[in-house]
Amino acid sequence: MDFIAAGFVKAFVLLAQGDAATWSAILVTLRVTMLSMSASLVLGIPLGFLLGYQAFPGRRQVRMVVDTMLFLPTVFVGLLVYAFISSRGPLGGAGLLFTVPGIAVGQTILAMPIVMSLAASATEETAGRLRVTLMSLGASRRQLFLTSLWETRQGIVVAGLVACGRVMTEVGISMMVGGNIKWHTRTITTAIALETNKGLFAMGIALGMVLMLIAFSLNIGAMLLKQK
Amino acid sequence: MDFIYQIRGLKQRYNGSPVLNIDRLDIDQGIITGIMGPNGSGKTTLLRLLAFIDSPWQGEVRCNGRAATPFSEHIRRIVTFLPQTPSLLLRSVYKNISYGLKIRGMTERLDEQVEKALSMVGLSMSTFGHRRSVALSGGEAQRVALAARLAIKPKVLLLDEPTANVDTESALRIKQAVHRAKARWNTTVIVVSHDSQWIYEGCDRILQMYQGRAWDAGNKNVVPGPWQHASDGSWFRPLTNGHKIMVSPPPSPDTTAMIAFSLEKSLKDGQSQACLLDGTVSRLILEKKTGRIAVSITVGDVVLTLKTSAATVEQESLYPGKQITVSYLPGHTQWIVP
Repeated sequence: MDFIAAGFVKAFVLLAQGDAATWSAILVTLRVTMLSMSASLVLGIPLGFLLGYQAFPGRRQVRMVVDTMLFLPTVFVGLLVYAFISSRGPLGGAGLLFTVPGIAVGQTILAMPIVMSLAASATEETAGRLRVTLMSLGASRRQLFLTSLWETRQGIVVAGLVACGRVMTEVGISMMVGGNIKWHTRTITTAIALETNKGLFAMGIALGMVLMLIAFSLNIGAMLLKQK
Repeated sequence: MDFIYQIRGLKQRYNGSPVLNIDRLDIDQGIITGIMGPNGSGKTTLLRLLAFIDSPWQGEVRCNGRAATPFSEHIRRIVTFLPQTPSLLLRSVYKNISYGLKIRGMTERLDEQVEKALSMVGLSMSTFGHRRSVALSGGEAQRVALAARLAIKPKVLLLDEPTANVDTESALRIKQAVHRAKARWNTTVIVVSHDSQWIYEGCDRILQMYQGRAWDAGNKNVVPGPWQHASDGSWFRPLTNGHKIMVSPPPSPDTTAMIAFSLEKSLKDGQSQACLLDGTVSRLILEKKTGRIAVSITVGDVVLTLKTSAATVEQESLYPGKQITVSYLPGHTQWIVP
């Protein structure tokens, strides 16, 4: 038990002293998360909203595919992205392998179905519930669409949070596509895995604490947004 | 009097099954029309079509003299519908009520308009204006939803069971608000309700619905099957008090009959003599508009409603609990064929 307690003490020291390797992993994680979440939200929210709002032929089938993609194993996504962006792959020329944007591509594939599926569910529930109310109050088609979108905001925030949690905590894609290169592509989770393998718990615990702190901050932000 | 609604050949289906079939129905402007009928009789379906929320499978609903479809510009701003369980926006009560006003551009003295609408349903602006919709009780939410409709001073107000899930005070406030709307803006109100007291006392016209059909409520009562075939070739339905309702041959044993009952014992026509049934008066309600009395009579497992004059009620000394005989002509059975 002592080594765990010692790990926590050392974690505080590492964070307080601004240990360069620890902070590098934190910054890489934040960069890659920002990139992948931006892409997932920009693409996933409109697509998810339309999937939940608009009836079209094949909608159920599309929904089934999106929902199935919620179960994508990160190592499988990592493998596919690796195959595509490695020098022998069709996108090998883009030079994305072992880079932060490369990891972000994989994480976008992981996060987008989550955003789409949860946003679609939230929209289906909200828009279905409010359609009669809004039409009864005289809303035009455009007003119905825009008000439904705004009223779905809480569901969309939840979708973003869940996707963000998945992205920040995944190891497979970051490890396979990023290569866990110190100072460059080492993220919090790949660093924890590596340090734990080496028996160095302090840095792992420090990074784990930072992850929890980020999650806590995100939740506070989401809570404030919900109250608006 | 002008018709606000003209319905012609209106049919609606859900999942391929017919749920509404109204050949012709006109609704006058500026009156309160009550619709009664059992669950599944098509009342809500009819209201949704009158509100242009849904499109009919067949037929046409003309509103204010013109045919319309969902989102038609000329009806969007004059017709409003309050569903049985209304949904409020995830905003304050004030914003919920001002929503309809804003999209109409009626933003002048917005606070005053919202306050007036709230006061019509018995809620105060200072207490409820800034309360979030999720913090309201069921009855309060229903009243806020009605206030949002009243704020826009609708020409047509369609209400689906507005008092079904609320307490007595909320129900009273809702009824008062509806009558005020009619008095202030000559609003045409169509209300679906199981509250027969309100329907009889507060409505200018009463429609009865059953299996997707609608007709003016009178002495005709719906009597569901199954009908039994006697050895002498007649058809009847046994009642739990030992009596039988005799009918002309039905299209099928499960077809529902529509039979006119009367308090007169000497009904007669060319072919058949009146049949008599013994029952017990269970309720008397004054129909304010006509001054007639709706008398509910329990005959075995069937409850019949007949309208009669106040003089007859006095003459026959009708009161709840009184044993009474009703009559009908078995040869005059109408059948409701789905």
